[in-house]
Amino acid sequence: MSFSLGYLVGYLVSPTQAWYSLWDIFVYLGIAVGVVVISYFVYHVVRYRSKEDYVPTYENKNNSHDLRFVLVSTSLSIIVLIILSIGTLNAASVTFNPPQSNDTVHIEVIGHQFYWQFVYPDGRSLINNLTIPAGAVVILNVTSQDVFHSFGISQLAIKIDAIPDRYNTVWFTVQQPGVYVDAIRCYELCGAGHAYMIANLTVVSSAAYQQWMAQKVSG
Amino acid sequence: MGKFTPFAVWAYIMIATLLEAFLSSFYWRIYPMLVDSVIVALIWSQVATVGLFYMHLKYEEKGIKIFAIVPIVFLVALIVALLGSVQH
Amino acid sequence: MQHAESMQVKQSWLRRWLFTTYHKDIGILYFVTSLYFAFVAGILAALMRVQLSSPANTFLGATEFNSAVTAHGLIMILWFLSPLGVAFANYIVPMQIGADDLAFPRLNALSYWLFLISGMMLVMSFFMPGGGFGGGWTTYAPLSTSQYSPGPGPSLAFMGFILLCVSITVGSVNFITTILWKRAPGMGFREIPMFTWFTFFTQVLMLMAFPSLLAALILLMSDRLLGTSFFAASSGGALLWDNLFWFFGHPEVYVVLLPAFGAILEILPTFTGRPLAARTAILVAAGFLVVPLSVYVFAHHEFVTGIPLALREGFTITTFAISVPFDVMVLSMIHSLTGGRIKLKTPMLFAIAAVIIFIIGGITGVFLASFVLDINLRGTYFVVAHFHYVMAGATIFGLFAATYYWLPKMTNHMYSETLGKLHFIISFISFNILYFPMFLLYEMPRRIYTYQASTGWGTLNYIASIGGFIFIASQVLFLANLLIAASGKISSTPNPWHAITPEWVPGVFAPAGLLKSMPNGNSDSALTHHQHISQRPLTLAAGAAVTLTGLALSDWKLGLPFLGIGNPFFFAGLALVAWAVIGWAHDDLLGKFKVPDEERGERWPSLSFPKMKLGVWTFLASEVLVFGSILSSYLYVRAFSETWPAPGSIHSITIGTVNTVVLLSSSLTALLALRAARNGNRRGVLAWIGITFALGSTFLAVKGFEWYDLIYNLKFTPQSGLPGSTYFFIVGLHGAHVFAGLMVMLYILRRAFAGKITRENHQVVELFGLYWSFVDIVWIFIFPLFYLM
Repeated sequence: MSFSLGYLVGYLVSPTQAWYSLWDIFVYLGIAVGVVVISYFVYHVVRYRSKEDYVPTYENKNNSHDLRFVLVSTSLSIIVLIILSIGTLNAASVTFNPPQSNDTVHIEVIGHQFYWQFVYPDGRSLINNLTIPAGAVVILNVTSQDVFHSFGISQLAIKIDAIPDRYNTVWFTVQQPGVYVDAIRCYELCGAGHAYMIANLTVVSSAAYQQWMAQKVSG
Repeated sequence: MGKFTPFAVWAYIMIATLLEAFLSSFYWRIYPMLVDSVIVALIWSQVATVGLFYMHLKYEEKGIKIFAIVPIVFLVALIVALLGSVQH
Repeated sequence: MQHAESMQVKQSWLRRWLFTTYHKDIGILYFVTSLYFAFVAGILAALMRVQLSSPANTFLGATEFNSAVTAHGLIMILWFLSPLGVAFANYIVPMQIGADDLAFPRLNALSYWLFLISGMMLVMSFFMPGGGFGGGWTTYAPLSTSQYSPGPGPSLAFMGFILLCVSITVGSVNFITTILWKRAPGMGFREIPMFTWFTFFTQVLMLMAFPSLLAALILLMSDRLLGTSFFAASSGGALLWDNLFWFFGHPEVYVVLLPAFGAILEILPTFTGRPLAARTAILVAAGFLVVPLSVYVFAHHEFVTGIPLALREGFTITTFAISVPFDVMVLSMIHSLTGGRIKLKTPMLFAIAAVIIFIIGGITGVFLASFVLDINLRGTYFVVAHFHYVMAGATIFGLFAATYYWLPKMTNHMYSETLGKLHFIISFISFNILYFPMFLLYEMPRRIYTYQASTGWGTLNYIASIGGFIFIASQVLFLANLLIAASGKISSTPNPWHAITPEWVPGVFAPAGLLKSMPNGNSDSALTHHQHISQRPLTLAAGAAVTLTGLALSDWKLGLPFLGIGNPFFFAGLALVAWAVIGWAHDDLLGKFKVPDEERGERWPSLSFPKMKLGVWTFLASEVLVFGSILSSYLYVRAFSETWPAPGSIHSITIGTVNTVVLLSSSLTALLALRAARNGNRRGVLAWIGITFALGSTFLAVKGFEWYDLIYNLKFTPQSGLPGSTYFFIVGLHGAHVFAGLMVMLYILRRAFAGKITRENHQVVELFGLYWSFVDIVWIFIFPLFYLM
């Protein structure tokens, strides 16, 4: 059901980009709508303010205008919602469709109380450090060993729940090598150590990654 | 309600119950999906019968039927989400 | 002489407040109690804001913080905001519809005492050895199971939560029956004031939503106390909790909001001097769009749990859609100012602020409605900001508005307008300082007790904390104003706002400019209501609480067997419950609880439809949801279980069939008893009810024999994985309902023996038949699902 308007809004290459573009749309529209409606409201409060006390008669001379106003303004809001829906579906077409690629990396993520374990295809395991090659499509298969956690890399707009007995998949890609300290956090209260479920994201060059993978894992 | 209606309803429910048990005992291992479907149909027919006759819904004012319909409308949302959450 | 008199006065004051069933008294009780709980939860919030005001703070430890955030959420939503709405519903709704009281005054009192006592249980749970529960108000499984949160503390909290569910369900049956059945002549649906309408919508949502939570909680307690495995991590149960909880959780937020909206919709016309704009559109939006849609949006709380894409898209569309009726309501509110002459008194100021805050909260809700945008916002402070804007903001400000508006009615005196305006300004500004920065903290996870300085979150948190302290402190002004009004220092007229809704103008009400007269069914004399005080509600509530506390304490794992010796609480509680229930029935038998004769006013569905019958049907609607939730959970469990015992391999189809024949036949005999009653045939009633009782008892006896065989011979127990858990739980719950039916039959037999079942008065037989047929319907589902499929 997802479709892509990528050609309209500029080609999106990653969930990160898709999310931040969508965020911009929501923020601009949200602020615009909020400012317009609240100003309109406050304007009315000021315009129709009465300084003296009086005994009201509760007459209404504007009956037909009332309903018309409400229907027109509601229609406008529906238009806004349609725009937001299209934006959402467009972003979804990228976020949930990892591109086909030769150097896709599959990593299993296991949430524990209270650390993140990253398991690579050859069986090696890193604790609280997700190492990936730059530019590659990374597909994470996320689960939990104990309770409900939530795996999130906020800077990259990646998030997926880590649920025991269940595997949830998410993909992303990072172009720029570097160590993103404390980029990975847990976003679902999982016990006393919830605040400490923090991991680094280490992005190395493709070559360095190959080299690292080639080294035999000891023990 | 007719004089014999409660007895007719009772007879139907007894037959339906025995039929369900019979189908399950002898045919479930052979045609599980079919037997399940027939049983589900029998369940709903019994529920409707008890509701309409023993709970008098057929003869009450129209509005009372809302008490049976509204909860089902709400429940459907839960069932959709629950069954949709199943992962194999 | 004087001494004796004053002693007498003291005694009746206590008796009045402990045993009252009068709606205004209970309204006051709810009001004061909610504010007390707000105070407790507010202190917790202050502690949390201190801890979070700077990075790497050590004011609260992790466990303390987690307990605080859990208690804060639970208490604020369930023991403050919602009950405060109920307080006004209690006080105002009967006055608005021209009724003398609610439909079931003793049940009203029961709701209140269950509310108070369950809250005390929740607070006490944090002082249990091992501490309370620290997993958030959403009590996610498997964190909430014994494996990860062991001990009597969490169990006691969940038991309190269960009692609150009962309180609310009883209350919703009461309010729905009242609003449908106890309206004065001339008070048709078009004439019902907005606050009553919105209370009605709220109560319908409560009736439909809380059963799912109740089901989830008793499943959880079954896991904790009986060793069943509904939510155990190894059986895929985490999402079961998620769905059951949020099916309740989303309607709950509208339950919290709608009374505040109802109050705002009363206040706006009164202080603008013109009627509401698009009144019918507002009612249609709230009643026919928000209420049904509220459960079709709930999975937006599960967007990142990995549910299928199609479901996510669907729930985004429904969640976007539910914003439309709110648009209609807010835009109507705004347009209701046009052409008016606005008096900016305190109630109006708070109402206006509530709408502004709701606009911000609502817009950010649309952010979260997008299943893609939600990805980076889920579990962050953006969500915290959003729901505090709509709940702490729109709802509380709306309820502040309601309080100031109706304070002259409740105390017969005025509050200080200057103090009220001061309270308003400081609250409004500090509220925004507290919560707006949180929108910018969308990278910060929720419910973390501390964060590192390197995150850069310190500044915004510090600002928020300052706003928080000012906001909390400014509530002292509110308290002071309440005391001023209660003390009677400032005088007031009976209708200081010149409002025209019935609670202000008894005997006359004026919808849309039409004046009709209505008899004054509302007696303000507390003295007449002393004639129907009853101690049963308090006793029953206390007994239920003691029983459940006893069960929670058995979680102490001291090596004592689960219902065993060493648990005096459980047995004492049961004894108290039995005494209260039997006493209640006895009161009814002797006609001790006298309610003035009901005047025939406006009734739905018709003038001749009996009140008790309406109440029973409403109750059955909620039971459909309870059993429906549990059976749906069973279907879910079957769907994800790879293997399941084949029919006939564990449960004997023969015994099951025999038992089914026995139980379903008893529905026929119950109907024949009703026929006998209609013919005035006392012997017939005794005989047929007797046979029904015998059949019901046979059912339970056979069940007992079955269970004995399963547990001792086949070693198939509640702990035997999911097949065992589901079977014993569901069949057990059904069996408890059969048992309750047997008790009702004993009451009927007692009444019949006393000659009180006559041709004219045999309603109890009909109502019992309804309940009994419902219990049969549940068995019609259970028998095939467990024995045949």
